[in-house]
Amino acid sequence: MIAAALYLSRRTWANSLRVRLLRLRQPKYMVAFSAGVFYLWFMFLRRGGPVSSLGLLGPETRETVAVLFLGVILVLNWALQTSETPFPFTLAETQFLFAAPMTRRQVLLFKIFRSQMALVISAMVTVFLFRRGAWSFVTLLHALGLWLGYAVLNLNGAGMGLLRLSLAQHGVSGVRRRTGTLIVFALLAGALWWVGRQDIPVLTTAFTTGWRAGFAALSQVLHSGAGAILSWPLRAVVAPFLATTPLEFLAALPAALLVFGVHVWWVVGSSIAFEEAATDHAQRTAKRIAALRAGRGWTEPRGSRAKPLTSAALNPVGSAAGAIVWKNRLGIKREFTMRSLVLVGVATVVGVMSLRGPRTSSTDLLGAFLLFGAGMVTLLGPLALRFDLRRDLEMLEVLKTYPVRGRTVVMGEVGALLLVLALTAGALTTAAFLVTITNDTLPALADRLAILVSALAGIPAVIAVFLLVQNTSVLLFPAWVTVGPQRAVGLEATGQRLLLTIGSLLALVFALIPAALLFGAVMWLSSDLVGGPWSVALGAVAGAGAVGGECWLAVQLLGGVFDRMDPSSAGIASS
Amino acid sequence: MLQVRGLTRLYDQLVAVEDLSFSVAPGEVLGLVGPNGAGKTTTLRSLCGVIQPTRGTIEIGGVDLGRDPVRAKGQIAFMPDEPHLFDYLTVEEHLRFTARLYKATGAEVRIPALLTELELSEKASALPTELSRGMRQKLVIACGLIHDPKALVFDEPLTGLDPAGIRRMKQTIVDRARQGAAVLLSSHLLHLVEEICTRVLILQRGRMVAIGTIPEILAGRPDLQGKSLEDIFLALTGSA
Repeated sequence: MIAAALYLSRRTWANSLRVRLLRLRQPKYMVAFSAGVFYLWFMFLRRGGPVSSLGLLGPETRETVAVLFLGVILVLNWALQTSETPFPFTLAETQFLFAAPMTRRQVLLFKIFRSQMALVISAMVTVFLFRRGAWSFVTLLHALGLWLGYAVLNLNGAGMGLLRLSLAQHGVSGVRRRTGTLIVFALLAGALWWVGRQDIPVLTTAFTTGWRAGFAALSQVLHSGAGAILSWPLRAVVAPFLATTPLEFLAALPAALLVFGVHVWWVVGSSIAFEEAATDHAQRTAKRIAALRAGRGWTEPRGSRAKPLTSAALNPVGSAAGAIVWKNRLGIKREFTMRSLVLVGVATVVGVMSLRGPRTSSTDLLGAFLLFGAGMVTLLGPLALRFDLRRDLEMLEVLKTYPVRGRTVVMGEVGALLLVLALTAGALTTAAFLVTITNDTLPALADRLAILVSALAGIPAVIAVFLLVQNTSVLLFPAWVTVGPQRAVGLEATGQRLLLTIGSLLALVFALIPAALLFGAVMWLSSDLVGGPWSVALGAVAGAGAVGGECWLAVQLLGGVFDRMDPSSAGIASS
Repeated sequence: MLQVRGLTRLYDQLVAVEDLSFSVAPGEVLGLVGPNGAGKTTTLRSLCGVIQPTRGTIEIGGVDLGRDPVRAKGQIAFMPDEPHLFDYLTVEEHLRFTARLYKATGAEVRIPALLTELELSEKASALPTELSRGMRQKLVIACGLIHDPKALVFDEPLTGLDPAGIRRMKQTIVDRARQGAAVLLSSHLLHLVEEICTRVLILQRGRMVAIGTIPEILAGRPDLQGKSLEDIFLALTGSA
């Protein structure tokens, strides 16, 4: 069985390498690959590249940071993991392994063994990229230590997946079957509560003094009393990775292997029928991969079992662009889950509370966070949310059968995101203005109002330019942009993204030149009339108008491109 | 209703379709058959405005697709073999969205009627990821019928359907033709073509090798008298 797993991994790796090398004969992949190699060299391999910040810390702090990091990942995995399968099997694996004369344990062992190879490579690459100085035997030991960490995380996730599956499959009897595991988790939760109740006030005081004192106090908690018992498995797992000599590594290895072994025993000992869930998952993954290979994308059916969020019904009479805006707005709404909102809310509250100093009021901090959020929405929103042609171009064949002009499609596709992002950023900015309205230490209220007007005029303009640049990329270079919700991976994909980002930034600068000129002219002309911030506001409104004109022109041009676009030659056609 | 004259489509040096001319009258079901790579999909995509012909003209309801694509596309519906749907729109929302794009009149009445006709009422609030392939196919058909098109183009309409679904689909096609729609149907299922098509167009390597009713085609080939469409197809395309 191990030999079979080894053979499969060896051949898979060799064949995929061969395919990738053959693909480099195509100029677009060669150029992208070269750009990716350059990026890798520039970021990680040249002398003076980034070094691991972990290596700059003292040994105790390093251990505390590593334990904290591992613990947070584990808790997030437990709390947020939604995968319905303990191991992501491929469709071929489900077809061959599940039908083969193998016990469930053998299948799991096979999968665990195969997973380790990928984890070893990941660990090697991580250590290679973030190493300090030249390669040495200790570097190799670091890689082995990191692999152990990855492996435990992987197995822990699988074990939790099996537990979740058991509870979902068997309900109350599933609880009985998993009594042992559940008791362990209950004890862990209780002990954590006990430790937290005692130590959190101490830790809070220490971190208020400074981060060094804070980490020292945390280290103390991790090494004494119940905290030491609770954190032992985590400390055992990170110890080999943090070892600085072969002897230290050897000393730390048995404990880490024990934790690893317990996890293997936990996962392999499970008798849960995971095959159906694994097959479902494999089928969805296979569809996604097939779509990506076809140059399209595929959406993971998020919350497909839940009833979709209701929305105002679309009036069958009205503009076609409005219908496309409605469709994409609905997509954005359904993409956001309650979990995302809770995470954003918790992060904001925690951030506000932790940054609050003796002289800073909560409302000031909230204002700063709201402004920060508005900035993020304006600058990163158009890149992160892909509910426009970047996603819908996979539906090009369908879109082209509709009796609408290309410019209408482009307007509708860009319009939805523009509307949502501009409203969100505008609302955040206005909220920041409102929560700090009584603050006397800030500029005069009238001036702040002028700044608000400038921001409200500028935000949609900037978002529109960003979105149009992104949509221009996908229409002009469809083979270079990942169409659909997923992102491509690999060195070529990194190179493609790098080149496209440079191109997008140049286009952005070029597009903003007329607006900047008009902004400057209006500001200069009106400075004697209204003066100060209000001349900036007038300039911003004029600049936004110029951007609006440019965007209108761009939509007309892109509409023509869309009308002439051929799914077959664009590499988007499904057949 | 559907008039194709001299349709030619090149992909670089490759001739996908060459000088293809045919028409489909209202009430007629024309079967488009041919071996793999014969140019069927290219023809269908050209007819629906998905790709532009290299040469030739296409008229839908008397409107030139090249000159006035919006008005021409408004009269046709394309049902592809692979149902492409928006992942984040429910069944009913797909219909509302399509109705608006096609400016379909009376959509508020037609939507529930179509949902009932295609047995999708219970799934009106379901997302495409919750539908079986057959149901996804039905939804595509419902979207295609929402604006009461004058011309219908089907690409392998029976793919993924169960026996009951196949029967209903055949009935839908025949009914639409009886109501006056021009239907173009592309399929490898020659018994389906033989059963519901009034005429047949056989394509090979991008060129038309025969068109007409089966007796009309047989008239030119006395050696094939009494043979099935399958035999005729294999003989004419040299696949036998």
